[in-house]
Amino acid sequence: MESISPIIEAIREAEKGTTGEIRVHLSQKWCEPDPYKRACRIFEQYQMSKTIFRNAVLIYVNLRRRKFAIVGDFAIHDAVGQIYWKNLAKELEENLRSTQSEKAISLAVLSLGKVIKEHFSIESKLS
Amino acid sequence: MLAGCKSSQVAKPATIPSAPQYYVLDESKVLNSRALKSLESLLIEHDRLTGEEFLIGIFKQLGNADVKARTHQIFQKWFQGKRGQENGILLAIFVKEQISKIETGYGLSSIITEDKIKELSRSIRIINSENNLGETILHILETLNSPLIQSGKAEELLQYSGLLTSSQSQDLPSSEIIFPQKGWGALFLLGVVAFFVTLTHLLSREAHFTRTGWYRPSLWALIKHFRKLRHSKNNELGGASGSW
Repeated sequence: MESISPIIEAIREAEKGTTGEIRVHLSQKWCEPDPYKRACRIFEQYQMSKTIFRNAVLIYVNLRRRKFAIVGDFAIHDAVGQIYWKNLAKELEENLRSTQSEKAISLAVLSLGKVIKEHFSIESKLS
Repeated sequence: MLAGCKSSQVAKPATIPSAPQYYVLDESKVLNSRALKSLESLLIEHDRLTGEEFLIGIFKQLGNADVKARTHQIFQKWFQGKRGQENGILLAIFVKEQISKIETGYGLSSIITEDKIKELSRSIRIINSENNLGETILHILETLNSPLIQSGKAEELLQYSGLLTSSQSQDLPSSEIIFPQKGWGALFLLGVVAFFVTLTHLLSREAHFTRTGWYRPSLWALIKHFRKLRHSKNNELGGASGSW
């Protein structure tokens, strides 16, 4: 496993001032037929659908098989739409091709954080 | 009066060991493990096929006892209350004195007569030639019309054990009498290794990151949620996937 602190820092930065929850799951499994299916399972396994605002997002990356998936709960999916996920996936793919994996993941997390802040900021919930 | 008399010391009779569980007692350890196991297999199989219990006792020494009396005592102890009293046969060998004796149950005395016993006993010379022990056992089995003689398995086993020399090679016989258990042990070991490799593979190649830090998934958590994961399908999720 490569250096991890940039990812944790990115998560903290992205979640700051929001009600959202972002998690990243790295894997080196040899067998990975469907990363999205696996990501959904991990999403359930860590009970990420049990947040209050149903706005958790999981970024799953299989470093060995070079596959990834992004899974968002229904509230954030409702807010951003499927097109956003496809664009984010494309952005992540380009970053993974061009730079180191942890940096690419961090960028994706920060990008996600901006969208979450837009729709799920704490201030808007308090007002 | 007393001067001419030697004080007689009554020799304490040596205790008779218990009957061997696997038909051969090698008190003086003249047989190597291969020969011992082969003999045990042979005699167990002979008993299974014929109901005749053929026991061999190789003792360190006879001491001051008479060979016939001693052999009889051993026979009485080893076959006491057992079916061997009728169709048992004991081959007792005393290594130090290099003598032996055969005793049979009353059911076999007509088959292995006294003359036959004398003839067989004379042929045994354990120390000088293990070959003679193998031949003696072979002759006893022939006299008993053992099915193992007719099938050739007795000779094969005795050759494998090294107790019977032959011009032919002494490869491991394909007989099922030899304990074929090494394969299962290796298979079990392989299974254990495969299990741990799989477990290590499952547990050590994952990392989960949150705002508080990262950690490896626990096996208990995986097991606990396994059934839920198999049956639950959350259709409310959205997302996308890709590869690079």
